[in-house]
This record gives sequence, C-alpha cells and structure tokens, in this order.
Amino acid sequence: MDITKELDKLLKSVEKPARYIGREIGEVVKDKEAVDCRFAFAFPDSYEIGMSFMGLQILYYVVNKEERLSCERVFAPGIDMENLMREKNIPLFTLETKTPIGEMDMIGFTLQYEMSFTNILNMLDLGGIPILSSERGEEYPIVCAGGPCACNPEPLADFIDFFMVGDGEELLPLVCKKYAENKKAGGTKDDYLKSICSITGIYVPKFYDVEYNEDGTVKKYTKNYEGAPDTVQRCIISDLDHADYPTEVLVPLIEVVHDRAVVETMRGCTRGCRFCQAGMIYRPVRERTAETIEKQIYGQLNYAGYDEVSLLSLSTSDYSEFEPLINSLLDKCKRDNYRISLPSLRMDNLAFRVMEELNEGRRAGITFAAEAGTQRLRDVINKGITEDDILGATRQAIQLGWSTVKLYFMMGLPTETYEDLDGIANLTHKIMDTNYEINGRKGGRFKVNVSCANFIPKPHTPFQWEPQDTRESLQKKHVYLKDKMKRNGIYFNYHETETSLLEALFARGDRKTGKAILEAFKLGCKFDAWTEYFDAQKWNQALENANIDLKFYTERRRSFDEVLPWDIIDEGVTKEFLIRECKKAYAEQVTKDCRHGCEGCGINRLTDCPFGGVFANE
Amino acid sequence: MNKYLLTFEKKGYIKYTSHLDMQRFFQRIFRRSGIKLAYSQGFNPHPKMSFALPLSLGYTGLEELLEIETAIPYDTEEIKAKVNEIMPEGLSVVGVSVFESKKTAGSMVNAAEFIITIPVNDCDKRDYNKIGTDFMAQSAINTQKLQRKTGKILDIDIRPLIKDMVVNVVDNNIIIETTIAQGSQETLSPELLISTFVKFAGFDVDPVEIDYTRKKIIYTKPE
Repeated sequence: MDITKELDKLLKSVEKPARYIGREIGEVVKDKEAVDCRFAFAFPDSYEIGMSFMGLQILYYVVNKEERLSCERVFAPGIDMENLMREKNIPLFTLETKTPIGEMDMIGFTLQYEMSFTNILNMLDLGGIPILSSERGEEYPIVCAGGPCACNPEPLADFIDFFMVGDGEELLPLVCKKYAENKKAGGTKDDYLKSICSITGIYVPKFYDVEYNEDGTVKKYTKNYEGAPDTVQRCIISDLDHADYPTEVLVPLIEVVHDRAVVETMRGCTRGCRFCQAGMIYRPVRERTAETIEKQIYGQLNYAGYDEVSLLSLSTSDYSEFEPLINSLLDKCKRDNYRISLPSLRMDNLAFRVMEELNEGRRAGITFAAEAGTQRLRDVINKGITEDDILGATRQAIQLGWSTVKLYFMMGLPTETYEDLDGIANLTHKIMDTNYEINGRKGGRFKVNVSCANFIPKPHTPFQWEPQDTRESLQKKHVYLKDKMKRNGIYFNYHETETSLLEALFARGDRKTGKAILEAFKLGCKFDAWTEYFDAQKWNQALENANIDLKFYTERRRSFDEVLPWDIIDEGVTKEFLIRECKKAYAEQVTKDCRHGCEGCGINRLTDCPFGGVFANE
Repeated sequence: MNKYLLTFEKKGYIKYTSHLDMQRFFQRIFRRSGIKLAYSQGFNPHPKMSFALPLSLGYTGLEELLEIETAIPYDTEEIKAKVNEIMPEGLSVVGVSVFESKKTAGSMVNAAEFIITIPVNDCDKRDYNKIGTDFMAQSAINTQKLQRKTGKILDIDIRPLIKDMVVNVVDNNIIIETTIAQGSQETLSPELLISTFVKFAGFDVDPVEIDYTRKKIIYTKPE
C-alpha cells in the first residue's frame, strides 16, 4: 500500500509534521526485499518522548547492525494526526519506509509505564491489526513487547504474542533471526512461538493457562505446551562493557524532551531501596569502564554534533570510576565546547566541586530524593539519606549562592502516619529557615520545590504484597500537606490520585485486568500519562464494563503465600529475600548497600554479581 | 573575517521541519563536519550562522541561503564536500561562495521566485494563462491580510509587491511562476497571493492541495 501521496496532504495540516517523516541523521532505511525480518520498534507515546529514550537507540542499532534484519520506528501519532488518518483511512506507518505496520513481520512495543497501555491498543487498531492475539491470523505481524513493565506482563497477556523480559541487546536480534528462520522453513506463528519460548527471557502467555480461586486470587498456572519453561528467567547481559552501544545515534530534527548524547555508565543499583522496582529488576550492578564510556561519549558527540552529554544510571555517584571519569571530562568539555548533565548525583564534596565547575548549581540548583519525611519511615523504605545529609548539603548550596532546592517525596508509604507528613513539611521549612539565616530577612530569590508522588506498590519489590493507600486517604493527605506548605518560596505539587490508582492496578494486575484496558480503549482513552488527555470518568466506566474491582487489586494486602500473577517471571531476586526485606521494613531495620557485604538477594543464581561485597572489608 | 554564503536545497519529507529546527540542525551539522564556526563573544556564545530568509514549514527550497562565519579560513569546495557528506536525504549544499560584506545577506534580500502548483479538476478547461494575465493587468489588487501582532484585518494592495507572474496549466495542475517581494523591507506571503488569485479566478481549493517551491532568493549582491 502506497500512502505517500495522501500522507503529504496530512502533513500539511497537522501540528509538528516532522514527527512523522523520519529522515533524521542516523536513520537506517533498508530495502524491504533485501531483509529476512522487518521489525517495527513501537513506542506507545509521542515522538518527542520516544526519541528521548536510550533503549530505542540501543535496540535500533543492534537490529539494524544485522545485514538481513531491519528495524523501523513507529510512535503514537498526535490526536490531530490520528483523526485525519482515521478519516482518510491511512493506516499507522513506520517512519523509515512509510510501511503500514500491518505489513511488517514483527511489531515490538516498549513498556516503560503502565499509563501507556491504551496507546498500544490504539496503535494496533490504527494499523488495522486486531487487538486480541487470538484474533490475529497468520496474515498479521507477530506482536511482542519488552521493557520494565514486562516484569508483570499479565495485564497485556491477551494482546501480546510474546514478551521479552530483561536486557534486550542480544535477545531482540535473536528473536528476529528466529523469525526469519521460521519464515524460511514455512512455519506458522505457533511454530515460531514454540521455537523461541525456551530462550531465556521469553514469555509466551498463551502457553500457560491460569486458574483462579473463588475469591479472585490466582490458584495456579499450568503449562499447556510442555516445551515452555516453568518460570521465565530474566535475560541478563553479564558484560556491559562489551555490550553493543551505538555511536551512530538517531539525531531528531525537531526538539525532543532529551536532545543530547547519552551514555549508560552502569546498569543496576546496590542500594536496595525497598519501594524501588528498578533497584530490584536490574540487578546485578554491571559497569562500563571509564575508557569505554569516554570513547562512547566522543563517538556520539562527533557523530551527532550534540553539545551536551548525559551520564545515565540509577545512581551516578555509585559508579566506581566516577571521580576519574568526571575529572577527565571536566578538563575536556570546555575545550571541546559541550555541557555535561549528571542526573541523580549524590550531594557529597565531589558533587559540589563538579557542579560549581559546570555552573550547574546556579542553573538548576540541587535535588534530593528524600522519599519520606522522617528517619523512621526512611528506615522502613531503606532510603539511606538522613536529615543531616540534606540540611548540610543545602546549607553548603545556599552559601555558594545557589537558589533552588528540589525535594522528592512519596506519600502513602507502608506504615506512614501523619507524623511522617509533618516531617515532610518540617524539613521543607527548615531548608527555608536555613536560607533566611544565611541570606538575611529578605532571603533573596530562594525557592524550594516539593514534589510528592503517591506510593505505588510494584511487583518484584519487598512491598509487592502491600496495600496501596486508598483514594480518600491520599486525597485527605494531599490537602493536609498542602495546607502546611503555605509559605512564600515553597512550591508544592503532588501527583494525580486517579492516575496513581490505575498505575497500581496494572502494575500488579492479573490477566483479567486486560479487559479493563480494552474497555478503556473502546471508550476512547489514550495518552493517559498526559494530564490533558487523562479521563478519570471514562476509566471508571471501563473498570465497571470489565467488571474489575479496583480495590481488590490496589487496597488488598496479599499474604506471603498467595500465588502472584508475576510469579511466572523470575527477575533474579528470590521471594525469600523480598519477604525478609518486607519483614525488616516493618521492624524499621535498614539493609546496607550490598557492596558492603552480600545480602543474599539471589541474583547470583542467574549470573555473576561483580560488586556484591566489594567494600566488605572497608 | 572568513565569511561564506552557502546555497542549499531543501526538498522531500524534510521540508516539514521548521526554520527553528533548521537552525539547530545546521549548528549540529557544522559541529559534525569539523568545519569550525566562529562564535559570538559573551556569556552565552552562539555560532555565527544565519539564514538569509526563513523558509516556511512545508515549502520546498531550491536555492536557500545560509551565511556563516568560520573560525579559520576554508576552501569553499571543502565546506561543500564536508557538509554534503553528512547531510540527510533531502538536504544538500549546491554552492558555497566567499561572502565579504559588511551587511548581512539577509538584509540585502528583496524578492524571491516561487513555483506554486495547484491541482485543477479534469473538466475545468478554462484558460488560466489568460486569467493570470488579466489578474496582473489590474492596476491595483486589493485584498485583506491579518496582522498577527494586533489581530486586525488590514486592507492592502498587493499589486506593487508582485514583480511578475505567469500562469500555465500542465497535466491538470495550474503552475504559477512568480517573483514577489520578500525580505525585511516589504514582503508578500505567497499564500496571500494564491488565496487572492484563487478568489479572482473564481474557484475553490483546499490549501493542503497546494505545493509551494521557493526557486530562488533574490538579493543585491555586495559591490
């Protein structure tokens, strides 16, 4: 189907038409006749968000690097574009070759956040592809998905043919090659799924039947194809230093959210914060050498012409060669005219020196993810930061003339009381007072931005059994805290409650919850992560239509012996470890950073853990 | 001072990028190419580079002009070769010349040639060439334009802003070749010209059916 002529007219009428054209530096366009498997990387949100995602750059590169495979891109079109496409009968197409996605061999969605799920359904529909796996015949592409939300794939089990759990650098090219092999051999879709289901990291939902208890909880999973594994182990790249990373990155033509070179210094985190899913499902810590990192930075800067580079990881300062790396980069960035951006930096002396040199403190100020307002609650969640750390660092920052402090908290954490909320307010006011103490009665243009997220219990964390705070309680707490934050210079914001409830539903949902996504899509829900498009009323209707009791999933405390929908996935940390951590949370006991001694999370069953206990003797 | 004037082409899908996008894009292209641009002095230095005349989003440009100043002298062919080597599909440098001038190229622009294509119905057999001649034969062409700043609608005579205009029909398309005032002194938007002409000719067309190509930017060359 050639859509190019009609497309030209559409592009003249929509906002930011460059979202739909491709043609960026770094784009790879292959002749469809010259490849054995055409894969569409689908990002279920706007071009600007998707193009800021490092995973896209990596996966685009590793697939296209293979001569006989091609990777093209597709994003969720803006509402204006979607309306025109539906009106003119133009199916959703890839940017590279403007091929309708229904003509591709495979479509792979990345699952970065739960609130993008309706966009997945909408994109399939826009491509003229049946939404339910069971309704897609041999003439339609294989639809797969991967990314952090694949750690509980069940809400999407009816829509996705197979999931990829874990690191995708090696897994994705492999499943594409397997597709080509199967096609060559004249195999069916089922033959294909059978041929890949035993690969580490592959989960094929249709090979498992789920039985439920009368109370709605999961009774058991039974395999209906004996070649499928009992549990699906996460695919782990053990050597990050030699893992593929692109120099020839895609450089967007239009402004996107993050428009800069990005290098991943390490994957994983040893801190063990109990609420944090990333800290659990990306274990173990694997690092790149400083030498490799510099080479990758310069490769990208030279290729793309960027003037900014960002070092990416879950905890920048924990990278073991951080000091030599940053010193070397500081020397070079002035000479070579680029800026360095360092997200999630811990505010120690080194950080202050680096930020002064980069002039970052004055520009952006400092940020603390304190997460909870009292030491007691920070111990519960194992967030190793103290009030003294925060006040000491803010004092130093204010003395340096920096004028913005950002604080991140969570609300509704397990065991939280109003005293903990008071703690959030008290800490904020103490920072304000510190400023008045140093800068005098007028205090200058100092401000404290306080951002409060609602706690969402996530699978594969020590809090996976915990109830989420109720709608009413969260709303009451928002009002309570807002009232305590009324002071010139304090800017307080909190997350939308309704969105947090739905996120919690799908984070720990079972297969039955997929029906709610389908109903929501039918009612027109899309771009749910965007406050301007999110429609709580439609969602409530969708839950009702799908017969889903929200509270059963969000407010119910699960017992340790309940069969959980995501038990089918083995992320590497054992249930015993998570239970131990959960009990320690209630005992207000902290668990140390496991570089100081192995805590026995179980990841070493699946792979080497290079940093466990490395500082044990210090 | 090492000043150069680049003539470049912008066509195909990449025409759907805006003027601002192109500014950022060319900055990156120069960083990549290894051609070192001169930077402005001051707290927030930026590379010395400017387009003579912004091209609207969606327009094809055949001879667009970009003025640059480099940190060290370069051979014009070297600039062309290094930039073209890394240009994406749809953009290419067609010529580079040394541009020694106190005034900027932009300030010397006074007109531009356009080719505008409008599809017509099969059964419309009217003589558009003559309609074009009649249109141009008017002593005044009064129309209305929206003044963006104030939101007011102004009555203006656009006849003095049209240097020439020839209309032909080729394969069910009206092809309008015209030279109109463009630049900082006085300027006529091709869209206003077309909407006025379409009204004069007495037919209707969906704006998304019209193709605009800026063939050439006309400027007074420095002495």
